[in-house]
Amino acid sequence: MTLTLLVLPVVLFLLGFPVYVVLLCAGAVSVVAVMDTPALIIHQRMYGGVENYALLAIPFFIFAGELMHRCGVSQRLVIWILAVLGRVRGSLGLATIFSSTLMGAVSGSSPATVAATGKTLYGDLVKSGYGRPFSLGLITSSGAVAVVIPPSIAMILYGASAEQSVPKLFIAGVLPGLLISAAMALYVVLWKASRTHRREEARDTVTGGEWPLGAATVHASGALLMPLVVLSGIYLGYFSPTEAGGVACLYAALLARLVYRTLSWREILDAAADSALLTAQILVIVASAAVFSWVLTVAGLPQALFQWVADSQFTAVTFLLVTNAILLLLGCFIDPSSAILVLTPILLPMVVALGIDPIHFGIVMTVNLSIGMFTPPFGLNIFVAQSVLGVDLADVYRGLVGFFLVQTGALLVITYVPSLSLWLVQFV
Amino acid sequence: MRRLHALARRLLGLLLIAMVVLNVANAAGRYLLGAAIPGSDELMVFAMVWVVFVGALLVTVDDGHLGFDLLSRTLPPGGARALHVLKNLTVALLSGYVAIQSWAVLQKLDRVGQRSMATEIPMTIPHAAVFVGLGLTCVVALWLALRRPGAAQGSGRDGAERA
Repeated sequence: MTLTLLVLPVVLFLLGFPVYVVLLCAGAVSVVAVMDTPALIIHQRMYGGVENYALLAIPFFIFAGELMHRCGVSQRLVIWILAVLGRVRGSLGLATIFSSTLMGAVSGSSPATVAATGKTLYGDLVKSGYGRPFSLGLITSSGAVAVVIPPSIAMILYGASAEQSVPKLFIAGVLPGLLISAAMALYVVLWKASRTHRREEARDTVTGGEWPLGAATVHASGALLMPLVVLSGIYLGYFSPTEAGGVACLYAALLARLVYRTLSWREILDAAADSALLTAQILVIVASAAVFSWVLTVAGLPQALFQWVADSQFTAVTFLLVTNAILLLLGCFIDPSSAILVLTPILLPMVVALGIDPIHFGIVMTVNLSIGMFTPPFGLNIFVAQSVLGVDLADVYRGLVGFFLVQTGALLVITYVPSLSLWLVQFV
Repeated sequence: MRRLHALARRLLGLLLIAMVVLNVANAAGRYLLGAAIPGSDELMVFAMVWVVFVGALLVTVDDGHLGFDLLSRTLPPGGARALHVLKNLTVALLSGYVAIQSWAVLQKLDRVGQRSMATEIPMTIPHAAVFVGLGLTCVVALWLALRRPGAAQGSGRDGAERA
């Protein structure tokens, strides 16, 4: 069993096999070669893995995010944030962080956020004296907040995998997401202040000039209203997260076609087709992970780990520290969706045994994996920034060091102050 | 192949739009008319199952599945080609085997005449998505493994770009 459940998947993964093939192969070979079970179970687990109402929110939020991304929302959000910030020192750096946070609330996709804010702000950041490495580090790491800010695909997957409430996970992610944004903002302001000594030097240059707050708010109102409609609909009890996803799609399509008039019906269909393929990319891993985690369960791994934690001297503090280290490392290699699907069934019994709240653990896991999105050498956002902005990888790597340390500091606070995640949950 | 891919991609897009319409109509019906559309949740889930398995087939054609694709970038052309063939033959073998199991499940479901609870659709319809998706993935992976090296590049977009 060690060979089929540990050695085989690790070898296939390192050889570059798709994650779904790694999981399905390990599960199927275990069923056929080791277990005394009819192989029909492979089909049953795969089908059962995706025949889940809770997962319906994923294609809907992906589609809504794709529409918002394509209809030019990021430019409007940046203009509004700059109007709100006025002439604050480091306003352009702050706009990068806050527009990424808002894009996260609108699209839920970290790479899409990096692409959108990067295209909009990179040139102005460099012109305003932030330098290439710092600007790239800022854009690449700010995009990771989108994984934590609701609606979050990673949280929907964790909720389905750990059988936890998605609305509770969404609300639990709000304060940690804002904490990360605030920590990044403080770092940017201090960095800018340390490099500019005169007030005039500290002013940032913005393409398109400055907008009055009222006009900028009207200009961005369509985009700003979307997260309000979605989240208030869920928490006021009007609709479930899945229905909220559908409403978000309708809202985004009407906004793009009838209000902004930036997308034709054909382009909306094209966005739907791309969203369907992206959904398939993620959910086929869910189907394969269902086979793999079933084999793990039948093999008794979760029970053995549960017993091991119960027998050992592990405390919640040390467990969370070790888990953070492992997740940060894995996050550099695996995308958050795959990591959550593989690791949740393994880690959850230990979490429960140690008395850690599963909602809090879901947030810790999500934040960890969001940091992995920009951790060198293989964080996905790094390659998105490289491809969208046509920059040197070495510049991106150099710029990321400070932001990695800031977000890891925020992660430690989120890990060891559970009330930060759980305080808002009590109101749901 | 390209035309079929484009057609299937567009059909999946239409299916996703239909799911959105059904979802919103269901929520609206509950508030405006006091009644949800019977069986709508079931229909949406079945549609999603088809989107996943047919979509995964198209992503295979595009070579866009998520993975840690570092080794093939560092290998010399001969090694990268060998790895490409090995990957696709493994995918073909695996998906072919699971498709055979799916066929057996479909026959079983057909024999007992199992239907869904709300809409009473034969359960062979949603389950067939696994058979169709993986059966065709087997064929496509064999084709990808056996075609000439020059044609192996540029068939689609990188998965990381979309993720």
